[in-house]
Amino acid sequence: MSELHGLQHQIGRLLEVRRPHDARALVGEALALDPADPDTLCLAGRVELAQQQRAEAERRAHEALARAPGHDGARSLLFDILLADKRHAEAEAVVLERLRDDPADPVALTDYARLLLHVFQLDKARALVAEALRCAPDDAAAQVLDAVLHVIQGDDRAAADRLARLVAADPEAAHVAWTAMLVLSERGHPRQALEIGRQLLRTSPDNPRLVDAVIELRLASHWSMLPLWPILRGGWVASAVLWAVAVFGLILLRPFVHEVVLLVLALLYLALLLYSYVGPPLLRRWLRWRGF
Amino acid sequence: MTRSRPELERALAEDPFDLATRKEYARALEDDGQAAAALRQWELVCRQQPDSAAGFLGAMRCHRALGALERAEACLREAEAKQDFSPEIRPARPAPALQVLTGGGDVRPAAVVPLRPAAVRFDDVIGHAALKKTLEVRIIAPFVRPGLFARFGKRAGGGVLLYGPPGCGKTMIARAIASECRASFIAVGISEILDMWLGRSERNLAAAFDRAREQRPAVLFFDELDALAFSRSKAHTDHTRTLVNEFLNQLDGVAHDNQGVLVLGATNMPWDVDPAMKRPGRFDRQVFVPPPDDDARAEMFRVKLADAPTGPIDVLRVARATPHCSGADVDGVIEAAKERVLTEILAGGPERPIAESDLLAAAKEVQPSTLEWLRTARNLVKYAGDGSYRDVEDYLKSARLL
Ligand SMILES: Nc1ncnc2c1ncn2[C@@H]1O[C@H](COP(=O)(O)OP(=O)(O)OP(=O)(O)O)[C@@H](O)[C@H]1O
Ligand SMILES: [Mg+2]
Repeated sequence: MSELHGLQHQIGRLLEVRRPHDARALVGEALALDPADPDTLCLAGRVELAQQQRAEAERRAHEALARAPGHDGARSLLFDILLADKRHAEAEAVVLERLRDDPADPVALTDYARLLLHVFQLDKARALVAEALRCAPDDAAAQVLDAVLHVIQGDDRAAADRLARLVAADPEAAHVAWTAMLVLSERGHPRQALEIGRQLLRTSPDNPRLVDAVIELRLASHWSMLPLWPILRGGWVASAVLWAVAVFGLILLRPFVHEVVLLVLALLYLALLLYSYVGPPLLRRWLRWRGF
Repeated sequence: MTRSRPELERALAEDPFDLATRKEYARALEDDGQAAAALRQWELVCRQQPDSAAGFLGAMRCHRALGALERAEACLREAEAKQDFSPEIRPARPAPALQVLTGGGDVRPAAVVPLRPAAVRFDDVIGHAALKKTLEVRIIAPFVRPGLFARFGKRAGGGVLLYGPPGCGKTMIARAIASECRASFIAVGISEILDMWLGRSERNLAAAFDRAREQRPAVLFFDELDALAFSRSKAHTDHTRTLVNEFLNQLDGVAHDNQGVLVLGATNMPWDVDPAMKRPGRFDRQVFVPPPDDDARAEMFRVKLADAPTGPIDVLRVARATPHCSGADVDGVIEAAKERVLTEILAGGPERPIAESDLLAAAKEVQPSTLEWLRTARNLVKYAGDGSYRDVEDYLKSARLL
C-alpha cells in the first residue's frame, strides 16, 4: 500500500466516524502528493458534502470526472449531491450514464430507484429494485429500499418478509432498525415501532427527521387517539367512508328512531369530526413540548 | 532483608503506591546495570513524591549512567531545591574524560511522559464543585488508596467516561485527575491511534495500553473516544469494528492485568460510542460535565483577567450577560475584549485598561457553543426515554431548557 493509499484509507475512516474536519487536513496532504488523483478528489468532495458545502463538493466531483471520465466514485458522489440538491433531472442523467456502462450494477440500479422514489414514480422504482436484487440478492441498500417501497404501496406482508430477512442478516445495523420502524408503523403496530424509534433516537439524537418520526409514532399510539383509529389508519379514504356512513345512516334511521336520539347521534358525529381536526395537532404540540 | 526483583515486582503490582518498595526496586535495577528501567522507576517516585529529593537524585544517577549529562544536571538542580536535600549526599560530578566511557551505547532514554511543570490541578478547574467531589471519592481515592477500599469490599477499576458539550473542561478535568492521582498521564487522541496503515491502529491502541501498564500507576486518557470506539451498528466498514473489538479486548484485560491503570475517556458525542464500551468493567461510570453556571463563569472572568490590565469590573454582571457560555467561550469573550481595546489604542486612542463595557460588547458577539449540544441532548431526554442521561436532564431543567 502506497502512502497515498494510506492517506485515502485514513480519510475514509475519519469520514466514517464523523470527523470531516480532521479528514479535510489529510485531504490537503493527499492532494499535495498527487493533485490529480481522482480517488482523492472524490474523497475531497465527500468531505465537503459532509460539511454541507454542496457547491464545493460538486466542483470536486467534476474535477475528478475530468481527470478520469466515468470514474465510479465520482459519479456516485455527483449523484448524491444532485439528489440532495433536488436536481432530479441532472441526477437521472448521471445514473443513466452509469447504467449504460454496466446495466447490471446493483448500486446504480438502487440509486436510480431511490431517485424515482423521490419523484413518486413508484412502479418504475419497484422494477429497478427488483432488478438490483436479482443482480445482488444480499445488497443491503436494495433490500431496505425494497421494504420501503412495499410499505408505500401497501403490501405490508411483502415488507415484513423483507424485514425479516434484513434482521436475520444484521440485526444490529441502524438501517435495519429504520426499516423495521417504518414497516411496523405501517402494519398498524405504532407501539412497537415507537419502541424501535426510541432505541434509534438514543444513537442518533441529532437527527431531526427521526425526532419527528418518533413524535408521530407516540401520537399514533396515544390512548386519546383511540376514537380516531379508523381515520388515522385508513387516511382520507376512511374519512370519506365515515362521512358517507354517517350521512346515509342518519337518513336511513330517521323513520325508526326518536328525533332526540337522531340529534344526539348527529352531535356525536360532529364532535368526532371536530376532534379529528383539532385533536391530533394539539396533542402533537403537547407531546413535542412535554416530551414522553 | 533484601527482596529479590521478582518479589519486588509482585509487591508493586499489588500496591503501586508503595514508595519504599518502588525505591528498593529502582535501586535493585540500578545495581543490575539497567539504568533505563531504573530511570523509569525513579521518575515515578518523583511524580508520587514531588517534594522529596530522593527520586530526583535517583533519576540523576540513571541519566548520568545513560550519558544524558544535561538531564542529570537538571535533576540535580531539582533535587537541590527540595527541603530534604542535604549537601553531604551531593554527588561528585564526574570527570569530563569519563563521559565518553560511561555514556554512549545504544540504550535509549525511557519513554516517560515528562512531568509538566504547570500540571493542571483540581483547584485550577473552576466551578464543577459537586463533580469534583464525586470524582474525588469515586475515582481518585480508590485509585490512590486501593488498600483502604479493598478492606471495605470496594474494588477500584473500570473506566470513567466524561461527556458533555464542547469547551466545558472535559480534557482539563482529565488532566487534573491524573495529577491528583499522582500517576503518569498518557493522553491519546485520534491522531495517535487512527493510522493510515492497515492494522496499525489496533497496534497503536495496544501499545498505549502496554505503555500504561508498564508505567503504572498510570492514567490512560482517550480524548474524543467516540471516534476511537465508534458505534459498530452505525459503521459501514470493518476497520471501525476491528478497532472497537481490540479496544474491548484491552479493557477487559483477559490477557492483561489492568490493575493500577485508570482508564479515562472524554467525548462530546456519547451516543456515538459503541454501547458495549459502556458495560460494567469498561467505561461503566459516565460523568456529565455541564456548562459553568453564573458563579463559575464570574470566577472564570475574575481569574482569567487577573494578569491583564482592567478597570473596575462587576464579573457577575458579565457572567449574566454570557448565558450558556462554556469555559472556552469565556476565553473567547476575553480575547475579543482585549482585541477591541488594542484596536482602539492602535487607532490612536489613549492607552486604557479593559473596561466592563468591552466585555459586555464582546459578549454580545459570541454565540454560546454549548446550545447545539444541549438541544441534541434534549431530544434524548425528552423523546428517547434514555435513563442513562439523568444528570443531563437535571441540568436542562435547572437551566430552563427542558
Ligand atoms: N472549569 C473550567 N475552569 C477553567 N477553565 C476552563 C474550564 N472549562 C473550560 N475552560 C477553558 O476552556 C478551554 C477548553 O477546555 P477543554 O479543552 O477542557 O474542554 P473540552 O470539554 O475538552 O472541549 P472539547 O469537547 O472541545 O474537547 C480550556 O483550555 C480552559 O481554558
Ligand atoms: Mg477536549
